[in-house]
Amino acid sequence: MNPYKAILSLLLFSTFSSLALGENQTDLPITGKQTLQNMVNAMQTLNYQGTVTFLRNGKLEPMKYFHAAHDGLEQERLLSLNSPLREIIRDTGKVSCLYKETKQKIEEKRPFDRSFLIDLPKDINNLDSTYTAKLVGEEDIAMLPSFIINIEPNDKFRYPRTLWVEKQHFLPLKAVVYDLNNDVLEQLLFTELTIKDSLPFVDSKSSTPPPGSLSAQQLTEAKFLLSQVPLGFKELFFTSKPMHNSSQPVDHLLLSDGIAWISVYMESKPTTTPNGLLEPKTVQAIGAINFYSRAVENYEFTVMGDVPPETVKLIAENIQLRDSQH
Amino acid sequence: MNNQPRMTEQLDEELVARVQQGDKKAFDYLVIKYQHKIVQLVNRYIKDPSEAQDVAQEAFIKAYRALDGFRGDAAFYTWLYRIAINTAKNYLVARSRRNSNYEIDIQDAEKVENAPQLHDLESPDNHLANQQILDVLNDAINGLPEEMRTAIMLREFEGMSYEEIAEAMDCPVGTVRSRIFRAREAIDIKLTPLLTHGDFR
Amino acid sequence: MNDELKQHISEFLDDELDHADSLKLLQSMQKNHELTDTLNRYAAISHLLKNKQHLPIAKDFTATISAQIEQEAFYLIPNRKPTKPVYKMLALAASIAAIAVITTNTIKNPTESPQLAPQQVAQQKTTPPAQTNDTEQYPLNARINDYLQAHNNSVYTNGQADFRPLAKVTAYNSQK
Repeated sequence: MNPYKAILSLLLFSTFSSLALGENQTDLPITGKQTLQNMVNAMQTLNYQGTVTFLRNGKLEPMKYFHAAHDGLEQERLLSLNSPLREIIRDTGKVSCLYKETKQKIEEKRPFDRSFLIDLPKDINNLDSTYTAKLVGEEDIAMLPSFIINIEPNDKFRYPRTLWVEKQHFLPLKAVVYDLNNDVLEQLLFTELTIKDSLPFVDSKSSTPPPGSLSAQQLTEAKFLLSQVPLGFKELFFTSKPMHNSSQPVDHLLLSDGIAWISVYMESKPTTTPNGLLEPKTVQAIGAINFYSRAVENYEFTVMGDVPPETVKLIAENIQLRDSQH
Repeated sequence: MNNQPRMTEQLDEELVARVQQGDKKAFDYLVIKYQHKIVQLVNRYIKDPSEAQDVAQEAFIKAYRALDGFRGDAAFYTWLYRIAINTAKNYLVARSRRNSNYEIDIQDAEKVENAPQLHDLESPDNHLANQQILDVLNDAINGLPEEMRTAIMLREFEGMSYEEIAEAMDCPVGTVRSRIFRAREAIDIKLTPLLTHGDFR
Repeated sequence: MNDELKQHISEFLDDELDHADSLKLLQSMQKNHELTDTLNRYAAISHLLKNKQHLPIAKDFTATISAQIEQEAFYLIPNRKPTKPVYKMLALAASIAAIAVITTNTIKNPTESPQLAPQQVAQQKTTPPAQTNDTEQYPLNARINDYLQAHNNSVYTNGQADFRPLAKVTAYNSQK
């Protein structure tokens, strides 16, 4: 066949197929919520790998991504492409990070399994009171047709998000977190993604087990309580364990509305401030995560989460010590 | 020759193929077929019957979602069995991390299979109710005619096929079918007034 | 319910019912919950005999799963072809016919909030958020790094190259 005719045929075919695919890829109507639920299911059960770029704080972090799933188990793995070279593995209940150059390894036990990519509850219906998901269009990402889903918060206490979900297997290709002015706070983007029949699970066990244990404590054991929390945020986990190279415990309370997560930390006010205590009345940010500190009697509280500054401030300024509640 | 495993696998293969072609009802059939086995399996790890049921349901749903990738390398039940165990283990890990009352070690859960001390986890009321049920069961078994009692014991405790039981008891397979059924029915009639179904909450 | 049906249920429990009758029985059980209840009662008796423990199954066990699966109508799409060859083909076509792909890259349903349309999203600023009177950007310090590490996994995917604070945490971890 004439090579030029072949290229023209391919051009016409690709145009036709792209148009045809773009027109009515699925014959079934689909909503934003259904797409999200399909995405949650696909993320947990499929084997896939690709290259993903995280954009945060104005910096790009490209990484190789792997998700292995087998018989109800799953593992996520990231390999950084920039320095410091590191491999991060998420298994059930823990995350480990190996720094390739220094050979140092950090292992953290996690009370909840949260994807490196996108955090959504297993049942999307749990978001009904706080967010609205809407299918707003279609676009090609990494040369893959995808649905565009806007996740709009129902109030000003959380950030809006947009997800691009690949149409055939419902895997996420792109996710953006916006602030309340619709400026981009954080973004992740797959530049390529492939599905695999299977992927190997990598052994992330350390020769030295992680220090101590992450034991949950009763929420009522916290020495403080939150008297104002936006609708939908549930207290999920509380623990008290040493941090910062000291034996002094730090109380950590974790809350979530299903998408956004907030941590409240309490520790005794340090007598010295070697690393710079946070200035009061100032909300600071790293990407989409805002944090705000406040002193209450002999304690310092820090509220941290991927929520607007007003939310962390609201929670922090309404923290009360249990002893003072009489 | 015992054709049981092959027959059941063939049925499973057919049902799986149907599900993969979009017939969701076929998955209902698989759930009906294996629900008691999966609940019993999960119950080895998760003692609370209500929680065991929830986790068993989650295992079935995980299996449904992953069915598109099921290639038949293993028998369907073997695959489902592994999913159920992994789901139960994940649940135990998550629960022990979130609630300090449940410091259960997964290795302990795997070792302690059918061990009597598990019953110590029961509340006194549940223990009493269970004991009553066992008493009625014992009476029902003891009240069975000899052949029916033997048939059901060989089936339940020795795991023998109907053919093997027929050979052991020197009777036709059809007689074995009838004896086992009538034994179950007699026990069921005695136990039904005592048993409540699914009312855990 | 007649005895013949119940006997079939008993045989089905023992995997002793033939293929055709098993299928017929399953179809009946799917419609008639009384039959499923009988199966579950026989299974509970079996479990009782072997384990000395009563473990009944909720009447709505199958229905609950069925309802959940019904919501997942669009996930298990029937007759899906293997996708790798299709992706490769699309990639090849796209690399040759870049213009053809771009012309199809239009939004089918314009958004109600235009500022979130993809083209406009692509044009959004990607620099750190605009500073307000109450927000400031600070570099990571060790304490916040520790908090971040306990909070979520973003500390590992952070674009910051300076992870020296984390090395301190590593030393702490290895000492304990």
